Amino acid sequence: MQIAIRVPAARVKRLVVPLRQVPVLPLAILLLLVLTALLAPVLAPGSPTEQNLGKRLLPPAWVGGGSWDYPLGTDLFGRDILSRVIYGARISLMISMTAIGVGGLFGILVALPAGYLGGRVDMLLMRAVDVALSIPTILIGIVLAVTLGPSYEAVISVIVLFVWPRYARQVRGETLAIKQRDFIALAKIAGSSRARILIVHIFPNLVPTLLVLSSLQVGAAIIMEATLSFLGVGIPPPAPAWGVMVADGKDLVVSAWWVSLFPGIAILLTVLSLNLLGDWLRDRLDPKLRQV
Amino acid sequence: MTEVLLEAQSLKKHFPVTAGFILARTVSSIKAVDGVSFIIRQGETLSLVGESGCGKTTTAKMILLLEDPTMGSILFRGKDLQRLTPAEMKEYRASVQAVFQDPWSSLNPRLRVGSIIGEPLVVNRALPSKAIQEQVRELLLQVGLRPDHDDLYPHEFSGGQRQRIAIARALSLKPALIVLDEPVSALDVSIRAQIMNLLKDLQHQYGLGYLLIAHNLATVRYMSHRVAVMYLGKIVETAQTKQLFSHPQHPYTRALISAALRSRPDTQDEEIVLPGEVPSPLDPPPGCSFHPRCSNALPLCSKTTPVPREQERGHWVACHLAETLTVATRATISAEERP
Amino acid sequence: MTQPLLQVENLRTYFLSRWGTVKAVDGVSFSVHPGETLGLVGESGCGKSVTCLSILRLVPQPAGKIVGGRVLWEGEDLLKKSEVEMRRIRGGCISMILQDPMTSLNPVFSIGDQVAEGIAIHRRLKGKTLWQKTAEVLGLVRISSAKARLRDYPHQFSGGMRQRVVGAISLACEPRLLIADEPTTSLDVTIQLQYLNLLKEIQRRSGVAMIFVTHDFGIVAKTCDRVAVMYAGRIVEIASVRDLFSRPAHPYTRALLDSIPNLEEQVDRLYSIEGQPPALHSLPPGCAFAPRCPYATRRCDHEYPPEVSLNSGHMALCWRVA
Repeated sequence: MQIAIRVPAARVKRLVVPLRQVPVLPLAILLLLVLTALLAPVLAPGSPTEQNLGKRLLPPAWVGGGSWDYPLGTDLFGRDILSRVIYGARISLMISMTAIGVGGLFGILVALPAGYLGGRVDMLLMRAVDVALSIPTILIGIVLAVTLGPSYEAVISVIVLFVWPRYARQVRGETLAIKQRDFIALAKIAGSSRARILIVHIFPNLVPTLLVLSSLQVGAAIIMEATLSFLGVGIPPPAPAWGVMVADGKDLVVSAWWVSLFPGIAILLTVLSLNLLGDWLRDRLDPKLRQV
Repeated sequence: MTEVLLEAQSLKKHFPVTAGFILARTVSSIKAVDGVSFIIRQGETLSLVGESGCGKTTTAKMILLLEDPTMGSILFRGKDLQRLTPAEMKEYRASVQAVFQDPWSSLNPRLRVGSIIGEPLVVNRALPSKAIQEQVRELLLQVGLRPDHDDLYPHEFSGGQRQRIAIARALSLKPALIVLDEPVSALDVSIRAQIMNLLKDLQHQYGLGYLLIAHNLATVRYMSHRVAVMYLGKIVETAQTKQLFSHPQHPYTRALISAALRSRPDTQDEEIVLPGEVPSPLDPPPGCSFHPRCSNALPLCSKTTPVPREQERGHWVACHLAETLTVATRATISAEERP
Repeated sequence: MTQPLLQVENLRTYFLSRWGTVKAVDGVSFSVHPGETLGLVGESGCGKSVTCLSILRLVPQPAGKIVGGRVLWEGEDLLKKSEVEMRRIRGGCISMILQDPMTSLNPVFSIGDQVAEGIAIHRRLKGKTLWQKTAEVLGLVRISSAKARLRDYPHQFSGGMRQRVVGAISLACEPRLLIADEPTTSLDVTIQLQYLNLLKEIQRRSGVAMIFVTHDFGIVAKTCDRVAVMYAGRIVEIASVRDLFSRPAHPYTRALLDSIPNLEEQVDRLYSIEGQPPALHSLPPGCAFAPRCPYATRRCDHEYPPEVSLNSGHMALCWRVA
C-alpha cells in the first residue's frame, strides 16, 4: 500500500523542484542568443558586411548625431554594428559548437576506454593530456595563421586542441570513479562485454559531468575564438566575429567607444550566462563535481 | 550427500607491491589470500567470517572472476575452471551471481529497474524482449515487489527494496550459487530480517548455494550451514555452524566469538581480549600468523605453519594445539552449560 | 532520586525540505542522571541523531529548526542560552563522539595538536603543562607511549586507535555528559569490544554520564542502564535495560528484538517486520507504527497513543498497553 503511494509522489517532486531555482536570466540570454543566430537574416536591420563610407563612425541612435537607421552606430567602414553583432552570434556559436563537438568527442573516445582499461594505455593517454595541456594554444594559433593564413578551420583546430585534453582528463577521472561502483562489478558478473559496460553503464553516468563541463567549455571556446580574432589570427575579416569587432575599435576607444563596446558586451553576457548555467548545473546534478 | 557445487583448492592471491616510476619492479607482495580451500554444496550456505583485511572479499572476487588467482584452482561441479571451453565458461558465469552490501552502489542509477533485472538475460539468453519483460515481472513478484515497478528508477526505492531488486537480478539466470557479500549490513535493523528470510526462502525453493561474507556473527549463525573463519588470508577453522559456535577450537575463533556482543544484557561470557592489532598482510608473522596474539603460543607456533586437521567430522582446525586446547575448552563449556 | 543532569522536555526539531515539513524530532522527553548511560535506539531517520544535535544546538542551519520544548542542563534551559555560552558548554560540559574516526580527525594536524586544542580552549593551559595534560589524556584512552606519539599524524594510527583518539578529544575537558553517536559502527568486532570496555571503564572512574546512540541492541545490552526506543521522531518506549529486554511493552520494540538474530541459539526463522519505516513528511495522524503493527486497531490509525506508565521508569506509547 505504502509503496504505491510513495512512488508517484517521488516523481512529481523531481519535476517541480528545479523550476524554482532555475537561473532564469542566463537561460533567457542564451535562448535569445541561439534565436538570434538562427534568425540573423530576419532580425538584422542591414547587411553585416556592406560598407558605407559616408556613414563612418556614427554613434548609437540615442547619442547626439546618431540615427535609428543604425541603432548601435557604425564602425570605421560605415558597417551597421547591430547587424554585425547579430551575425557575430552565428559565428561564435558555430565555431564554439563545432570545436566543442569535435574536441569533446575526441576526448571522450580516448579517455573512456583508457580510464576503464587502465594500465599502460591509460598512462600513455594521461601523458599525452599533460603535453596537450602545456601547449600554449594561442601561440599555436598565431603560428597556424601566419603559415597557412587565418581561416575558420584553423580557429576550430586550435580550439579543439585546447578543449580535448580537458574533456579527456575529466572523463577519465569520472570513469575511474564510476568503475569502482558495484554495478560495474555486477555487470561483469552477469557476463556483459566491455563495450556494453562502457556504453550502457559508464557513459550514461558521465552525462551530468559532460553537461557541466560543456557549458563551461563553450564559454571558454567563445573567449578563445574572440581572442584569436582580436589578435588578427582568427576569423578572417570582413566576417563579423565579435573578437574582430572589438579589435576594430581598439584604437578608437576614446573617440568611438561603441565600436568595441557592443561586441564586448555580447561576449561578456554570453560567457557569463554560460558560466552561471554551468555552476547551477553542477550544483544541481552533483555537488561532488565542484572541482570542474 | 548432495552434490558439491564449487570447490576452492589452495587459492592464493598476492598483490604485487611495486617501486619505481617508469621501470616499476615488484619489491614484495601483499598476501591477501594465502592458500584457502573449501567446498560449497548445492543448497548450502557457507560463511566466510573474519575481520577487515582477512581476505574474505578477495576470495569472493576470485570466485566471481573479478580477480585472477595467483595460484590454486576453482572447481565447478568437479571441473577446473582453467580447463573449461568458452561455452562452459559462459555457463559458469551465468551460474554464479552476486549480491553486494551497498544497494545504492549496486544498481545503475541511469537504468530502469526492468533493464537492471533483465540485463543478465539480455546478455546471456537470446530471448525476445517480450519474454524478458515477462520474466522480470515474475522475478519482481518473487522478491516481494510489484510487477509494475519495472519502469521505475532505483532512486524511487528504499534501501530494503533496492536490495530486493539486486536479489531479483541475481536470480534472473537461475544460478546455482550466489555470493552474498554483507547482504544486510547496510540495511535498517527492521529490514534485515525481511531480507534474510527472503534469501532463506529462495534457497529452499531453488536449492541455491550461498557463499556468505559477513562480519556480524549472529547473522552468520542464522544464515549459514557451515562457517569458515579467516585470519590474515588463511582459513583457521571450518565447521558446521552449530558446532563452531558451541565448540570453537581455534584460539582466534574463540576470541572472535567472545568479542561479539550478546543480544541480551548480562549474558556476555568471559571476554578474551586479544593483545595488539592484526599484523600487516605485507609481512605476516612466520609460522602460525596468529601466534603473536595467541596466549597459548608455543615456540613451535612461530616456526611451523599449522596444517588444518580434522578434529571431528567436518570440523577442521589449523592450530598446533587443537587437540590440547579442545580438552580445556570442553571443560569450560560443560561448566557454563550447568544451570 | 538524584537531580537529573540533563532533562529534555517535549523537544521538537523540524526540517524544512522540498517535501514539506519533516518532523525529525516530534515531542521527545527524557532525562539523564549523573553517571548513567542512556541508550537511544532506532533505525536510520528515526530522529536519534537529530535529538543529540538539538541538545547541543548543532542542528544544520537554516534547514533545521528547534521549534519547541526545553533542554534543561542542571535546571537551565540550553535553548535560551547565547551562542557564546553554548560554546562554553559544548566540549566543556557536554561533548560528542561521532561515527567515523576517519573524518573526525583532521589529517593535516598532529594527534597532539588536535587533542590539545580543546584543552587549550576550555582549560586555558599553555606550553608544557598543556602538552603534559594532552599526553595524560591520550594515556587515558590507552594509547601506548602517548608522549612519543603526540607528534604523529592520524594516518600513522590504526582505525581502532583513531577512534580512541576521538574519544580522548571528547573526554579531554572532563565533560559531565558524553554523547556517542554510533561510535563503533566502523570498527571490527574485537576492536569494538575493546572500545566499549574502555568507555565503560572511563565512566566508572570519572562518573561521566553518557547518551549512546545506536541501532545495535547488542551495544545497548552491553553498555546501557536505561534505553529509549525511537520511531518516526518520537520515543515509543523507555525503560531500564533489563525491563526492556525481558518485558518489552511496545509492539515495535518487541518486533525489533524478535527480528534480530542472536549468537546464543539456533533460530529457524526470525520474525520480520513488514513494510518500511514511514516518510517523516507525511506521518499518519495516529500511531506511526500502526501500518506495520500486527496488533493495530482502528483507534491506532486515528488517534495518537498516550504515554502509559507501566512501572517506575518504564513508559510506552501504545493503546494496547493503556
